[in-house]
Amino acid sequence: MNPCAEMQKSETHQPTVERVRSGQVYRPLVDIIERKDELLVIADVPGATPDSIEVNFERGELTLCAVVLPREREGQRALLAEYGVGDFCRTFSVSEEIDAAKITASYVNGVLTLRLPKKDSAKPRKIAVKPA
Amino acid sequence: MLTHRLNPFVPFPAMRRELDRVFESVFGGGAGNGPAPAYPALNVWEDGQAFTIEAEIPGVELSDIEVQVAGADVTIKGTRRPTAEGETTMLREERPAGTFSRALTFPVEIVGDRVEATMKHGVLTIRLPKSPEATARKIQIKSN
Repeated sequence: MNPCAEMQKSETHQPTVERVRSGQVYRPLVDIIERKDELLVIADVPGATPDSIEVNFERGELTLCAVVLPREREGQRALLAEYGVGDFCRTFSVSEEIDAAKITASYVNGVLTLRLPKKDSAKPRKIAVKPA
Repeated sequence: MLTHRLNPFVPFPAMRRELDRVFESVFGGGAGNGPAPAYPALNVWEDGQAFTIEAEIPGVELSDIEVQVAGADVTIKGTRRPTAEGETTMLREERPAGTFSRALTFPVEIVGDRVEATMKHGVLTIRLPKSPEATARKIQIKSN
């Protein structure tokens, strides 16, 4: 099993913060890396700010949401519109045992990086075999 | 070397989906959906004095982006490095990486030495002033 599978019902997931404005919600693109002692979730959330990002980990569910305000272009006429701007939200189900208290998040250049340290019990360990 | 961890026990359709997803992430489009969309996607605006190009390129520094202006032609080039270099187990790999290039031709010439580019939270904004000849064409007529 993929220890970080996407929630099947992510569309119905509502962030804990009540939405007070309408608008498009996008699924951020992610890379997920598994290391010996941690899972690394790297998400593209361009246009967000550190305080507009909300990360929750509860009962094995990781949710990341970011509020992105529309970038006003007053007095300008659109010539080309290849992408839309809006909030980001995505939920993953993490089957690996995670030490929730030690999850850290950083946001640099529009990229959110989450480190999810595995619990000691979930880390691979080498068992030394002693001679009899 | 990046290897996708595929569960050998997943039934074929699930594995097929996984493979499709891998190809989607590498080529930026689903199989059979035609050519991959150009990267980065661009939004462009115009006002009386300038054009403004905006693109979402998270993870890339402004110094890694090159904007070339020749007359009315504008080219944006850059490289997005994979964050996962040297990692062995990628469970998901959706974020595009590699070199990219977009070219646009505007209806009027651009003043190349007055082009301004900024990068904030992964959003690139380039302001391209129109040549004075182009802006002077619009003559205001005042009534007495």
